[in-house]
Amino acid sequence: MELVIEKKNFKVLIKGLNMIFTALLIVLSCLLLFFGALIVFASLISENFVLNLIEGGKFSASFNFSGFELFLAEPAIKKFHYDKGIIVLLLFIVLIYISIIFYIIILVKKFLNSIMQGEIFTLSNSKRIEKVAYCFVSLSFVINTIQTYLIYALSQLFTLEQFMESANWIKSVSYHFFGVNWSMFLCGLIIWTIGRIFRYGSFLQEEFDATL
Amino acid sequence: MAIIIRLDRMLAERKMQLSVLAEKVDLSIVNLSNLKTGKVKAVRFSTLNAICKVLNCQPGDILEYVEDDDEDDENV
Repeated sequence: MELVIEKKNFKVLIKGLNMIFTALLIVLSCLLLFFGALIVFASLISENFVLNLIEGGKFSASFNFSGFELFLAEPAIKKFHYDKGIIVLLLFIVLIYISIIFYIIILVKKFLNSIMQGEIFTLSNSKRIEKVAYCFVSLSFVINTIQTYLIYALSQLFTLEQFMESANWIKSVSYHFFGVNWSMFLCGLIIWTIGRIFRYGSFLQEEFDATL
Repeated sequence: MAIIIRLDRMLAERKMQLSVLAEKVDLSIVNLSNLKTGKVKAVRFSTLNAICKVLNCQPGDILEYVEDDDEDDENV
């Protein structure tokens, strides 16, 4: 009886996860399309158009870094300097980042679909898990660069460096583009190990299936 | 493989069809067919016990060892 309940709970869990990842997939697809359209739009519009838009309207801007939020005053917003190159590169980098996350979500969804069909320990599942691990390891090398470039781009667009350097208590500003996110790297290694465990599991499953 | 399955010989001697054996042993016809054609990698004792019981025979009547040519070359 307990086994039946556990099996039911497991099926419900997998179904629930499948629904969550389907929703994530839809959201990320919309985001990809949005950023793709934004890149095209940003590369076509002129810098004067954006500057006129900012001068004519009332905007507010804030930056949020891991819980620390910085609200920009109006003079800082008015000093917004639209650089097409920086904006397009920034959007392109964000698009690549979202694409990697999208690929991870697709792999996880395929894995969940396979489990729902009763195929758990298969070679294809182990390969999917290993691919997720490779994505995590790749992200661990680029995520610092992406985040730093985001801050760099925003500080260039709002000319924040000048404001900061004019303050007596700030000596200088520097950007560290290259670094490894060790937590993500370790996650990648752990997921890769799980993928190898599934590979061995698929071998055992084959042996079991071939035993009468 | 060096182990040959002589299930078809036993079924002919007992004048039994594969489907009847499958039903009595509680296995699928596909699995028994795989056994007959030597596609399985291993057989559980419980399965061998059920087959021998139904066919009223010894395991040696169903399983036969034949030396592989590869093994012969290794010995030489």
